[in-house]
Amino acid sequence: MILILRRRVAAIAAVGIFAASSCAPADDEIADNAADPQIVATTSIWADIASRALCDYPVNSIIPIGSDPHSWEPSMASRSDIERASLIIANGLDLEHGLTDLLDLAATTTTRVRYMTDNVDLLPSGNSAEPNEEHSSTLDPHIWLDPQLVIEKVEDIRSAAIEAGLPSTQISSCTTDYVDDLETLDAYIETLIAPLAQDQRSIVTNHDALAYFAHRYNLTVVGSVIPSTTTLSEPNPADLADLASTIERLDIRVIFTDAESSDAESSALAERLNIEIVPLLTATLTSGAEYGKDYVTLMATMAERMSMGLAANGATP
Amino acid sequence: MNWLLHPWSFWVAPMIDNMFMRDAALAATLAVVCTSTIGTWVLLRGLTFLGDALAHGVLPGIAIAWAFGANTSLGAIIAALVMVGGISTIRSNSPLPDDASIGILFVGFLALAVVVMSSSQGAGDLSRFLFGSISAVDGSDIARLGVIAVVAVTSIVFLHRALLMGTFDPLQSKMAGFRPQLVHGALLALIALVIVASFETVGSLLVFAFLVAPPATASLIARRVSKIVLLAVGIGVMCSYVGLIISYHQRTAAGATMALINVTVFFLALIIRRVHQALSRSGHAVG
Repeated sequence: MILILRRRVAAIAAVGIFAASSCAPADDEIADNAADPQIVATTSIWADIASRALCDYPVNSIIPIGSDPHSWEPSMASRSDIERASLIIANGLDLEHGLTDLLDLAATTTTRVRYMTDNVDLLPSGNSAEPNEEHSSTLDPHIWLDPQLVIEKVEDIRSAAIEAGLPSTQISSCTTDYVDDLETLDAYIETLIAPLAQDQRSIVTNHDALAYFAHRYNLTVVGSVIPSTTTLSEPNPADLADLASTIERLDIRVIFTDAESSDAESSALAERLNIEIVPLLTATLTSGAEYGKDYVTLMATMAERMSMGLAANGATP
Repeated sequence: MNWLLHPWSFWVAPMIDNMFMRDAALAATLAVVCTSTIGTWVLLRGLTFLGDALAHGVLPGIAIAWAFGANTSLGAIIAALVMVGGISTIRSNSPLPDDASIGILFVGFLALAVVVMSSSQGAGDLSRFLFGSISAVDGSDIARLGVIAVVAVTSIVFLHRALLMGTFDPLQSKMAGFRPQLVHGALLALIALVIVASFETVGSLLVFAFLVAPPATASLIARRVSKIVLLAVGIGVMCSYVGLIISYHQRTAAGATMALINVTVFFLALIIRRVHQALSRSGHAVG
């Protein structure tokens, strides 16, 4: 009797843990049409760009929508995505930190890995006003924040997709259409930023992400709360004190933070200096908000928020 | 409910279809053999906190080795040995209990790792070592784990009697001619070795999970030490397999899922044990 009961308890308990983990459908439903190459991107932003450039060809992201690529850890399913892919579009420069080993491994197989940061004039991260010896060795990986660089990369993605076996006839017109969209986006951002006076063009960010955006639109990153290209570091008090005095000296009214990761330090600093924080989505799309639905909307929203935030700079009576 | 309705395609097919799943399962199995055999003694001798400290104490060694472009495994083993030496130095020079000296070194080593990492730009960050990369194991990882597994099992078989007597009957152990300090030192060196061998593959979080959870679960069920070791390896391997399969289907971080399954199974075993005890007691009362 006791033995039977014991077994039953074990069985019920076992059902309990695995029921929770297995309600979702198995991921076998991805069409495995041998003729169509599987194209994946590491981040949701590159997946969206690639998909639009390739006539809405399905391009899944390995790092799910809404996750901070800096701190995300891979699952066995990510390995499976990489195994099945004939082309992987990756950012590189250690942006997708948790995927480093998997990407290195994929590069040794027949899978093509195309790093978007290859063949780009990379910018150092951080303080573009006063280039700092210590930080000169780190490069900013967030290249997609300059639409002109994305336009260059669209051609790169197109040729990689054709090499991977996608018929060029199927995608030719979309690439040019998407480039037009990106040119429109670029012009739109220009018109948003253009009215800002020179002394309003100083940016303070949560972590070093905006070098390309600033470079393209003639803004200056004067400092960041977490002086690192990853969101995983911790600020030191001396840097924070420097930053606070810079903010007061330049009469900066806003700190731009990352919507996808913690902004505790930025919030504290902003509260202390009695200035605003404005969250920007920089490294991932999101399913939670309309402005994060695709790359073009994300960039346009970001530029709108920045132009509004920066317009307050230098406005202290 | 695929795990129940389609057990083959849920539990078995991913392993058959994917070479990388088999590699990951093999690497995890070898890591379990390394850590759970040693871990049983860690548990029985009350060294769990030391195991935790060592699993994280290797990090500054890795950080420093990385900053200087040296071999990270070498850095890790040196850090582990320095930590073991430091603990016994504090123990013999202060009235502090063992857990305090371990705690002091634990926090010191962890802080040192973070400081070294923060001052060397581009050195990456510690999360890589915390979680490892079981999803990207290759032949050399498996070979390394295989060698260490053989070393660990051989050493434990060889030390079995000395450890047994030293743990449960120290007096008789001395009379039988075993040297308790030497045996203890050998065990500490083995702990350091298996931690260093496994963490690059499975990460220090999972190393510690394997070191503690399967032996703890097994000790709820079995009494004899040799049975606990075998059962711990079996439980650890089973949990790893389940963890890998769940990570495959549910897209959860691989190492952390395996660690979580190990801990979940411990609590299940605990509950079952309690229920069993309650039932047998009420059975006695009625009978």
